[in-house]
Amino acid sequence: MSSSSQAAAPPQLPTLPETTRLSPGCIRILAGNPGKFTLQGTNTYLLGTGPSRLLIDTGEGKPSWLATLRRVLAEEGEGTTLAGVLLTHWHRDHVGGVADILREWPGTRVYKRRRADGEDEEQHGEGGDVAGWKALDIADGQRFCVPGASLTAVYTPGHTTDHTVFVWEEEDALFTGDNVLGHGTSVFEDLGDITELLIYSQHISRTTSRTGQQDGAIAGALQLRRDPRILKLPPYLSLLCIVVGVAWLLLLPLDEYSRRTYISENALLPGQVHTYFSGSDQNIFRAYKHEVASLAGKTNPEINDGLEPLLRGFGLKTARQNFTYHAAGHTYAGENLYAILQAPRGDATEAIVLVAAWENVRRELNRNGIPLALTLLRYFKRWSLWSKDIILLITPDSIAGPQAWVDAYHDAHNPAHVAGLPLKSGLLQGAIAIDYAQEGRFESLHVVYDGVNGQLPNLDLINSVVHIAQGQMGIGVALQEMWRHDNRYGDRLRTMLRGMLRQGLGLASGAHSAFIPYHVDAVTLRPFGQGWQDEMAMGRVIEGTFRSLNNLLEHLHQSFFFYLLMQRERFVSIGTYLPSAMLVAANFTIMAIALWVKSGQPEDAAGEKAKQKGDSSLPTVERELFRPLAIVALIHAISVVPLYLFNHLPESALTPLFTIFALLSATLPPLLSHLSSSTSSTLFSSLTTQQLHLIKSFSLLLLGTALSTLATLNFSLSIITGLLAAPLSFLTHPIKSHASPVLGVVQVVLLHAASPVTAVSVAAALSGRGLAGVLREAAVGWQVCGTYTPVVVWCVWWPAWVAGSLVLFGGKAKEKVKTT
Amino acid sequence: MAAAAKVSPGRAAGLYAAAAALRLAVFAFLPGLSDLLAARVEVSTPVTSFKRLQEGLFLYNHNVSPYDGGVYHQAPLLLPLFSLLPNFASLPLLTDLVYVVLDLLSARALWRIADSGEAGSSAQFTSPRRAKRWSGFVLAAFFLFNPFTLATCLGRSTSVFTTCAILHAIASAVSGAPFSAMVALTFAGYLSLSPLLLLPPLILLAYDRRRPGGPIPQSGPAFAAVCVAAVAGVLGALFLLSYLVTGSWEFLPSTYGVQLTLSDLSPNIGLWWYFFVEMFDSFRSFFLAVFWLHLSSYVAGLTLRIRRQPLVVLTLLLGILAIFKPYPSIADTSLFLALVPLYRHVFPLMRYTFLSASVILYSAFLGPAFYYLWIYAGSGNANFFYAITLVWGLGQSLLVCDLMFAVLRDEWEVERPEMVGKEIRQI
Repeated sequence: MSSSSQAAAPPQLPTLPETTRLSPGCIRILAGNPGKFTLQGTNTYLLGTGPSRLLIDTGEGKPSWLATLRRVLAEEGEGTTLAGVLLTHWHRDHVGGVADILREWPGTRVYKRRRADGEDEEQHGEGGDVAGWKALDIADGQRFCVPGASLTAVYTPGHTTDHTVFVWEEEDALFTGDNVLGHGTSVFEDLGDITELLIYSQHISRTTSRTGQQDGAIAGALQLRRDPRILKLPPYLSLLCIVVGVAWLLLLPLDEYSRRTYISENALLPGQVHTYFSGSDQNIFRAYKHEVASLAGKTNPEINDGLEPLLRGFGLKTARQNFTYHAAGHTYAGENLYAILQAPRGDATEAIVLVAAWENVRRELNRNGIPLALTLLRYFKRWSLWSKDIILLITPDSIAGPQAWVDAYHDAHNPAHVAGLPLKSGLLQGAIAIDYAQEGRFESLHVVYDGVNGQLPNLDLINSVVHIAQGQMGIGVALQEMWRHDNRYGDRLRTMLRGMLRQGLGLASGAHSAFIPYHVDAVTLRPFGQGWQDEMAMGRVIEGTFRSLNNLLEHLHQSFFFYLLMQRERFVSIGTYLPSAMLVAANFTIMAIALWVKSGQPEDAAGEKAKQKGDSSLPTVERELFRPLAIVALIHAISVVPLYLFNHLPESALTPLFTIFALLSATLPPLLSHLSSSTSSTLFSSLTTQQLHLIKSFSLLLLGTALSTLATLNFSLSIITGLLAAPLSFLTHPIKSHASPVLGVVQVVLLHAASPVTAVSVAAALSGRGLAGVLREAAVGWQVCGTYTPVVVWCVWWPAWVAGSLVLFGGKAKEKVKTT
Repeated sequence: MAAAAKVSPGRAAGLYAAAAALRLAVFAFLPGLSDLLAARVEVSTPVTSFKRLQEGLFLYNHNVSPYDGGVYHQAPLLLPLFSLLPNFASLPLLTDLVYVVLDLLSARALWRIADSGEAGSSAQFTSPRRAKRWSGFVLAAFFLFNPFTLATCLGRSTSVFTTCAILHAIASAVSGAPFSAMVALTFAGYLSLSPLLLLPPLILLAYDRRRPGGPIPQSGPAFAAVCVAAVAGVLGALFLLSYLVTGSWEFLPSTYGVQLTLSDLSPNIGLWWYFFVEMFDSFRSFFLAVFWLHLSSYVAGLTLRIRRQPLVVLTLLLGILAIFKPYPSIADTSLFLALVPLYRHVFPLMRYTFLSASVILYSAFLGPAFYYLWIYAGSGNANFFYAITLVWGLGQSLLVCDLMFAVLRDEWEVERPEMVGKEIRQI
């Protein structure tokens, strides 16, 4: 018979146990009918690894056999059923149990080759005591497949005229029925056939092949799909994605990939008008500067009390607004003052905002900015050409004040913290913030354009400012604190990377930042350097920009919201740069798919063998989805905790909290994985390799999805997170699964390099603000500006990392169990 | 086959309590979240939006026809129901409680459907794989904690009523109560029209599971006739009641007319709105007819082809409705996804589960992002969002097709046992 367990014929037959597992996919059940012809009893075989099995032969119908079969099926797992019963030939000791089977499992399909002499199929058996059942015919070469067992029937007349043997592909085994007995020899009905049979049997297992031959192309594709080499590919593909993504980014500053900026909205007409802000206005500016200097150091309401009469003196309506934010244990409160210049030629449906914060982002007094804004407004009031209202907004600081005002302007404020605005104008079309804290003459203009959450103003606004400052006034323009720029590759790349870092952090970079999420294009202008430009030149740049904005017929609408600037006149558009972030995000998805496929492959020897053969179809095992899904969902649910804590605790508690959190997230996953090898019955106990693969697959899939979505909202944050988390793609195998300790150490190091905890610590060290400072800024960004970077770090990146850690330290420690 | 493991009443109560607690907690502690969800186009369509319901309710309570504003497009009988509840603005708890209870009732109905075993073994077909199935407990849990179901309930979309009615119709049909099945389906159809397309397979299901000696005649045509008559009768009664409540027949064009003619073109996750935004008026009626014909053509085909498993037809049709109906929302998807796990036994035959799950996952992330870019950030446009709704539809149709393939393959393997486990190819 198939097994080699019965080697030679001993004088006394060995006693065989009632059931024996001959291989993972084959169980032999003795029919319980020992005798002269049947030796130890007819062998019956239960084949397959899945929920449905094939049974070869049925014995002669002893109740004990049926009971054994029932027990074996139950032991194989709940719900294991018979897909079919295959009978080798008509003898009673092989078909006798069919009736029992049909009684036990009605509807079971029974197959037997029709006898050549045409004997009525309904009257089986010599005894004739079997109730009328009808078997389905077996054709020569017919295949029967269940998971783990694919059988091909081969017609082998000899022992009987209907004798059929079955070739088991996975194991290269032959179920010979009574043609070959393990011990002794058989009785033959038809001796003529037997010699032929013996020769044929030699070739049987080699020559049988799949019955249906696929056509060229499909067969080729299927062949390729099944090629085991395909499964080795994804890590390399994934790595390739990252490398190409980074290389792509580095190519962008080249002339071939970036473009010269141009004004796309013709209505802006920048630099086409004469600006008249000069001469006598300088005296007025000096006077206001004295006023402002006298107010320096006073409280916020006192300052506003001092400024408001000036604004009213221009004949403007003024109003004030209170706000109070709490973040990281600090209170950010203050009072905004604003005035509205109603357009002489407009209907108050549109407005432009001039923002001057009392303190800039570096907490310096805006000693020239405030007087300049007042002078400008007084000057604007004299002109009759405005078709849009002009709003002057004076805020106590550069972050919370503008945020509170813009939120309230759009009725999106939380009334508990921010008061409503008593006075409003029309739709905001643009905003220019002045950050002019330096004394004396200046050389060039620094344009700050990053908005909250990495949103950018329409490029046309920046282009207009550059055009007016540089082309009309002869003032240089710098971006991203690149005070000197030689317009070569190195400086372009540095500008771009600085811009990406700021965009990725998503924090407010000036008083203009709060406007951009409301689709109000805004920039901050900050003079720098020692040169010969005076306040009037700065004023003329603003006047020119306001005149351009005044020309606008509608919102700046060109698709100029996604760009990377690398020099004041050079940019890359989204179509050119987006692929790099998408490639980095795609690397996670590729690995997720690879792990999913891998999780569907059997881990045991049968699978290995099938894999080596390469050409036969890989059997797919059922995936156990529930626990992996639950674990991934649980990790993501837990991630709300760090998000909440880091954004709500006072600053003093942040550093200790971070330390505890770092320790916990470094030790908890290995600990849980360790628990998993013990016998306790938790969610994490005894995870199989398949389940670990699935956990990793789901978490990488989520990470990839989240990052590619994020790439459309905040390109830089997506690519930065993607690159920092990239090692997670390659840490897919539990450390325990391979022996080399060096590799294990490398993996642990890589894992911790990809951790958000490490990233935050390194960022704190590099920025020189200290851990508490960085965490406080993140909390302020979250509470005041609505920065969502913390969500990405704690709820997207961190869960993926925890899942990675769980998988790396997880896995059944088979060796360990054996040694103990 | 081994019956699904008995679930102790304690576990069932625990599940319901957990689901209810989660929902009530969000309602109570994160009112911002449920307001946000109520405003999302993915959750609230013109015909299910809670905000529009409140608008209609306000008009109704002030003795103005609720349809006068041109905002409210939902069934009139929702109005007296909600006006009986205390004012939502001052005491939202009771309204929230109604939504939570409806979700729990839906889960209970789903549980009954699962425990009937109809999915694995119908009157005319018994799957050899039926042993592998999930218990009602698992299905109810999948339904109650499905993020789409949660979002629908938290967004207070009135499609919760429709979902509950459809599930009860199926549950009644399965448990041999044809009359209550028809009544429940009529309610679903009354609330949102398109469930009426489920009538043919539902009648077949009720017929297959009828109890001998019931009040309805046993012969096929007579049974169907009685069922149709019951639906017509109940629908007539509901219309009459609606007429009495609102005092005019205006509700017919304002509710069903809007669905039939797609006069409200607000964006949603379906495939209709963008198409009709772009359409020249002269072609409008033609394409309306084409779209509706397309939607209804699936009913006959599927009902005939998968006659032996009417529950499969119902499941597939719900999936198709979630893709192709005029104002779909994630509520429709959540109903389809609730029924899919009934077919646990054919999951091994499905070939694109990972693909369709990934596509649905991706579009669920990208949809809101692109909508944000279009509406709020102003940096994208309508094409962004529509492209993603196409992908969303693609993901669901992959799932529908894959499930249909698996079920048909399961039937086919019973007829052709020699083909079990073989690769198929198209010729």
